[in-house]
Amino acid sequence: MHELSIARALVDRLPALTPRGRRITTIHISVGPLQAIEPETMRMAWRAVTYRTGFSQIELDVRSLPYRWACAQCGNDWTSEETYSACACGNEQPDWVGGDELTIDSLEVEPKEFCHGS
Amino acid sequence: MEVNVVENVLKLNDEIAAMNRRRFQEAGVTVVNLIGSPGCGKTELLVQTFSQFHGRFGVIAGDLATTRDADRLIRAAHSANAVVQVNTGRGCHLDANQVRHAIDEIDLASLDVLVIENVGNLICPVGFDLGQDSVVGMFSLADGDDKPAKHPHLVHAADLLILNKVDLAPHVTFDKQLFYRDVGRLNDSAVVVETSASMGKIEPWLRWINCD
Repeated sequence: MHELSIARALVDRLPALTPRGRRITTIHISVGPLQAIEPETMRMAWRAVTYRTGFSQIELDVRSLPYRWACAQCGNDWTSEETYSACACGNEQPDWVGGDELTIDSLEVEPKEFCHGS
Repeated sequence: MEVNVVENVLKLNDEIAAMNRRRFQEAGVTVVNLIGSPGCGKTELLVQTFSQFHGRFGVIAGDLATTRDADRLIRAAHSANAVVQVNTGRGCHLDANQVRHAIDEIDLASLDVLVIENVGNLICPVGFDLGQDSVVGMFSLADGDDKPAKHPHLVHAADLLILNKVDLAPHVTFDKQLFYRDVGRLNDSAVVVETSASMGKIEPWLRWINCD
């Protein structure tokens, strides 16, 4: 259940990431397949960790990324859902270049309210 | 309005891991993060290491519950000074902050090599940097030959992979060719060594920690 640890890590980052005077509505994160994160489990963990906190209204958007490969022999690069993928040129040792991502990409925040006071 | 961030979700863990790494470097101790499934022989490897390694050796042992690993290791070390048990409760991995507290209980400068024995789990521990110099992944013949293919994150992250319990070869079905092919496809720079810890045969591991 490392989704819970990751949800807690996200909560820990929120104070530093929240623009002054704004309220976050959505957090967008990206996860590569090597992180073994189930998006639905991740959202459930997020709801559990933020329950009855000031962050409970924030939506968590989880974007699943594929494995990315590059071939040093023919210059080809491609993505795959499989753990291992040979190059179409026949090279059986392509370079693995992505799949372990776990990043906060962006936040959506409510627009600033106009102040009508004097 | 959208605000771009682009930072690692585990940024705080990574920052604490960097602090641990500085403390390890200042103390001159080489640190290994040992990750393997429950029952693959991690603790037995470390018990044997206490009796066979000629350098000064210490262990931080992570488990959900009990001090059984630490008790075994303290008996092997003939001293409680070089062994710390961390109980994670419901946590399925060690994080950098737990290690930060654990190293307060060890005299790092008195060690040449410190192994952090992670919670028995091939998935979650891989993503959490503890400040180690190297990640060592451990499989055993009893686990089956398909574990590297099923757990690619550990194979990708590992500097060394240990295949333990090789003495069980006559008793279990294990296709070594398939195992080595899968490891090579996932990480062709990882070193793989074979051990039989319960028989005391851990020489390739000792050679690796002596060189590392």
